[in-house]
Amino acid sequence: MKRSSSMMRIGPVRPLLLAAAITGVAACATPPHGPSPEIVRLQQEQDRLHADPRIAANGGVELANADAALAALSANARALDSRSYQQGVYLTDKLQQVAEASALARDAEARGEQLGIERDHLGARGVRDEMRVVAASQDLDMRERAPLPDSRARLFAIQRELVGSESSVDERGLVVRLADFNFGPGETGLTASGERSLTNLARALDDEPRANVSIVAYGDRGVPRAHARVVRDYLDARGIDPDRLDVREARRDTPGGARGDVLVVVRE
Amino acid sequence: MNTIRSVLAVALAASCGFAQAIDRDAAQLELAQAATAVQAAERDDAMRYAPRDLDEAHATFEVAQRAADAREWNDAAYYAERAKVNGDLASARSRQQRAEAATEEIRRSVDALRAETGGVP
Repeated sequence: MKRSSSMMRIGPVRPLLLAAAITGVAACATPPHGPSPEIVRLQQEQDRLHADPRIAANGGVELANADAALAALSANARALDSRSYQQGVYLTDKLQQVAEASALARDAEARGEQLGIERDHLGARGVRDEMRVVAASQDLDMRERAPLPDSRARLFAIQRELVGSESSVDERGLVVRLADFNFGPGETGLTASGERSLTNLARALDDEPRANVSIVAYGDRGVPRAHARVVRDYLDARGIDPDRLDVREARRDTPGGARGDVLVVVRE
Repeated sequence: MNTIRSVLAVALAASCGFAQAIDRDAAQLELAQAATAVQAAERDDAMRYAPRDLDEAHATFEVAQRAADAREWNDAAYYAERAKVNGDLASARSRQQRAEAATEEIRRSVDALRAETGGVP
């Protein structure tokens, strides 16, 4: 009876306590459906990063880190205590910002590199145009009327006049190669191709009075040396001051030419 | 990468149902990594290009340092992680600002050259 009255006394309270306890446990065990607002926001931000082609293409390891952090946080959010969860949100947010900044830095660096190439290209084109203007004005003294580009740029300008010739610009200067087939039995001692090369060269040298020419014969003393003299005589006949012309014979071990070649080296 | 490991470690520890106590060595390691990240940001001229991020890195590092002085290793590691990621962010922002400024400079000179050579800007 006593027991029964006791039961009756606590009867209405006990179910309430049980219900509260179960509700509490249930609340812990089954949190609200769907991700938290912070995770939704981070996921949207991550989607935005991946949708931006500048970031997706340049995100690298930083974007992968942000992906991994968000995935870990999303997977474990419900199990984390409040402090750890807040730390996860904070770090993931920062990692996303690191990914974005790193990717945009790489994107800017790549664009800068491309623009740098274009700038060099346009600069060279500007020099070429300037040289064309000078060549078109017969009475224009380049040294007085136009600021001269550097000597290498001037050698490139000469080289551009040598259409059809085999030439290069290196540490020796502008090097024009004349092979056996450029020399022939005609009046000038040159074939048509050889004559064309030297005509163009003589015209370019006219515009470059400070340029000196070394004519270097490779190979046996006989034929190449004779060919070198042909070159000198031809340029002389085209009005190039003989003092600017120097004929040499390459030593056997001198690099840069093949046996039988004559190299015309223009230097300032 | 260390930050990722930390996030994962915290997440996994919590999911396994136990609180992870951080000892002195682990906290000191986090502090050392944070100090390295903050110094790197300073070398990357973040004071000039990303001052807000660098300030936040300094602030969180100071909190971490104070916690370490008080031998609160959990707090020290907690704020050191924040300081490290803030240092990384300051470095990244600084690099971004410098790259964009340099690219803008080159773009201006390209536009000028295009105009001189008659190209389309």
